[in-house]
Amino acid sequence: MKTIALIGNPNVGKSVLFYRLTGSYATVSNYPGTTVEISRGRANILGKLYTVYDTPGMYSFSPFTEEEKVTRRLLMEQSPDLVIHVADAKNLPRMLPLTIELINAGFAVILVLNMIDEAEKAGVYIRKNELARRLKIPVLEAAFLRGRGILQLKKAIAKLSSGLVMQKAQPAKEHYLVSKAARCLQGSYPFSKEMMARLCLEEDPEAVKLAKQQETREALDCLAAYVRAAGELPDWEMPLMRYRQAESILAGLYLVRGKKKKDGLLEKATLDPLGGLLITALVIYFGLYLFVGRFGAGVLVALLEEKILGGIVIPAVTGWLEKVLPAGALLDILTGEFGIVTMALRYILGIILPVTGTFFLVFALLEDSGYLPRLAFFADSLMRRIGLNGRAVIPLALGFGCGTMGVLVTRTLESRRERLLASFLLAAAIPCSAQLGLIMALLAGEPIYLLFWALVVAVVFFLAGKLLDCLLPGSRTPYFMELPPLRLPGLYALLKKTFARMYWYLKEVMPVFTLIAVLLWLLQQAKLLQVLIFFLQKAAASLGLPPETAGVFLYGFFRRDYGAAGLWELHRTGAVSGSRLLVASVVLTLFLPCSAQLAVMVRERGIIAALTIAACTALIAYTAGFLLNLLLRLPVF
Amino acid sequence: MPALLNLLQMPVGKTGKIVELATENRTILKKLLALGIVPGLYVTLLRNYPGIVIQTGFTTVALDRTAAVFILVCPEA
Ligand SMILES: Nc1nc2c(ncn2[C@@H]2O[C@H](COP(=O)(O)OP(=O)(O)OP(=O)(O)O)[C@@H](O)[C@H]2O)c(=O)[nH]1
Ligand SMILES: [Mg+2]
Repeated sequence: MKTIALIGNPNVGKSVLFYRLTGSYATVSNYPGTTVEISRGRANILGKLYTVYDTPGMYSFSPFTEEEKVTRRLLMEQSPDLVIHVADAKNLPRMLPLTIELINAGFAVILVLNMIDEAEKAGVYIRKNELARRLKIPVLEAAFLRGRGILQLKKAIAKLSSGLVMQKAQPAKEHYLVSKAARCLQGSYPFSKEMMARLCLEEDPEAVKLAKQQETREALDCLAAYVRAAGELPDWEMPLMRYRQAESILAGLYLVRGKKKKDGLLEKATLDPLGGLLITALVIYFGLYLFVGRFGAGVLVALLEEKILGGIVIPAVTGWLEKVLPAGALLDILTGEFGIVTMALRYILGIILPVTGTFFLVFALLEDSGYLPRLAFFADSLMRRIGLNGRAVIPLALGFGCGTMGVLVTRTLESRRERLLASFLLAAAIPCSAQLGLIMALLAGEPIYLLFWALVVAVVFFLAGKLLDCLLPGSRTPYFMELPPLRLPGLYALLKKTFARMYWYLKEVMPVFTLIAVLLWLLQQAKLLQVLIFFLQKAAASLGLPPETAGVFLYGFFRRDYGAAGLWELHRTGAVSGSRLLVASVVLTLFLPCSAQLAVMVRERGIIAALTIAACTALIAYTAGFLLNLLLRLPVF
Repeated sequence: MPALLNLLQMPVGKTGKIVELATENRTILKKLLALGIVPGLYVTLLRNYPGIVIQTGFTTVALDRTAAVFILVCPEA
């Protein structure tokens, strides 16, 4: 099967196209760096099957961030038969250099001028036929979001791949050092020799490694001489040459008619500190507090958990199971104290899902409007104090949805140090949506406590960040970010994304909860559970918490959301309230990252870092709870 | 010819042509080049507080002061 890779700058519509071609959903949001992993799908294009890859955005063949490296690795390792370069039409001058790089690397390329609707509105006109003649590749206009240009693209793909080998365009002239260095190379490479030579001249580690495997001593010596010569050149010489090439190819073909319109009021307000603060306050109050906290975690949970599940569904299912199953282990695991039906299903569908669902909806609105990169812009000066830059706001904000997503998206940060810092903060001081929503609902009765909780978590966030910033060697990288235009989110896209995430969440959570039910049952049978609970009760008592909270912390070991749901239930039975509820909320928020997040941390940061982070968060949670308990015991409270 | 200014010195709302990226820091330099901020480009300064926001063509880029200080522009009359 032939393979197609969708390549392009960040935020140009690659994931929209992926969905249109394959029918499988990839997250689409209005900010650069949404996609951080390769998605693979199948497309039936005019009767023929293809494998299609959606990739993280990349600016050039010389990557900066992890997610750019992911894309380049795909190009290197999979050598796709066809590359579709998706570009934002109105910004074509900035995107064309990548088209030239792709052609020069030896790929068969189709250039798509996407978002042509926005270009037209802005008065941009591109003479695409002439551009196609000059580049010697197909150039198409499209607005994938509106379904425009899909058929033409499919036809172009079919036509290009009808031959045995896909037809390739003539590469543009390379820098003379690159051409000379390319002549040293003898091996066979996934990219053209010129591209390999260029990457070697840039001392790109992956390219150098490949060359060392493939080349003889003499060839490497020959190459080394040019690497030295290239080291003498100013760093901007080669990139600038590519820009000039792109400029001359585009000369006379990219026309802007009419006067540029001024930025709207909203556009201005979102970049103004006061306006930004106001918008953020509105988002927190209406979006988080009222919609997620009061409506999702309050009204919806009461309806689903108490009325529908607790009142009708679960008694019915349990009764039926008791009738059809013999008493014994299986029945116990299904309907016992920690049973899959009695507890796991009720917690997931009744308590957690309404909260995460409402959160995902609000968050999708923020993502699709283009608010997040603007928030990042404001927060840059705050983030600077803890060794990060504004970019880190995006993974941290995603962490409020689910810590696992947050850790994955730290790939968009430039240095290892920043990725480590952000992963640590995500584990230690960012509550996930289930925790956030349920804690808001729990403490809503006493707003002072809610403020107190937020304050403690914020203080821990900054102290932990500050401390780690001092401990880790190195310094922050400067902040750069493209600000996408504000876009009006579409209702269909919002719902699609929310449901896709809820589905993903359920799929991730179900097996874990089943496992927990089985594990707890086993521990209970082996009489180990009682021992565990005993120690946890001791720990809880030292925080001034009643013994019932031990169970909640036990769930918290596995999943944060489970712990939060447990606390919610405990509150309903009246076992914790007032200042104890506050202490328990704080400890649970700061408590261990959940098992899924830990697994992703191990994969992305390595096992040592992941376990160290986990141990630190447990310590922080306990210390914070201990101090808070002492403080609340003071006579002033 | 008017004097060169770095982005921090330029008044808000003014447009100028980038003349030089005056930094020895390779990472910053390559990053600017990758984003398409290259000599010869016309940029308008949209904001200088709380960070720097510039516009070139239809692209808006936010950057912090440490990077903006290296971008030398020749302001249009
Ligand atoms: N007006 C308009 N907007 C579009 C079009 N295609 C995509 N968008 C919007 O552009 C934004 C980015 O789309 P994505 O598909 O997430 O872009 P991407 O290239 O996958 O981005 P990364 O994953 O960050 O590299 C979203 O807000 C889309 O709704 C289009 O044809 N017209
Ligand atoms: Mg994407």
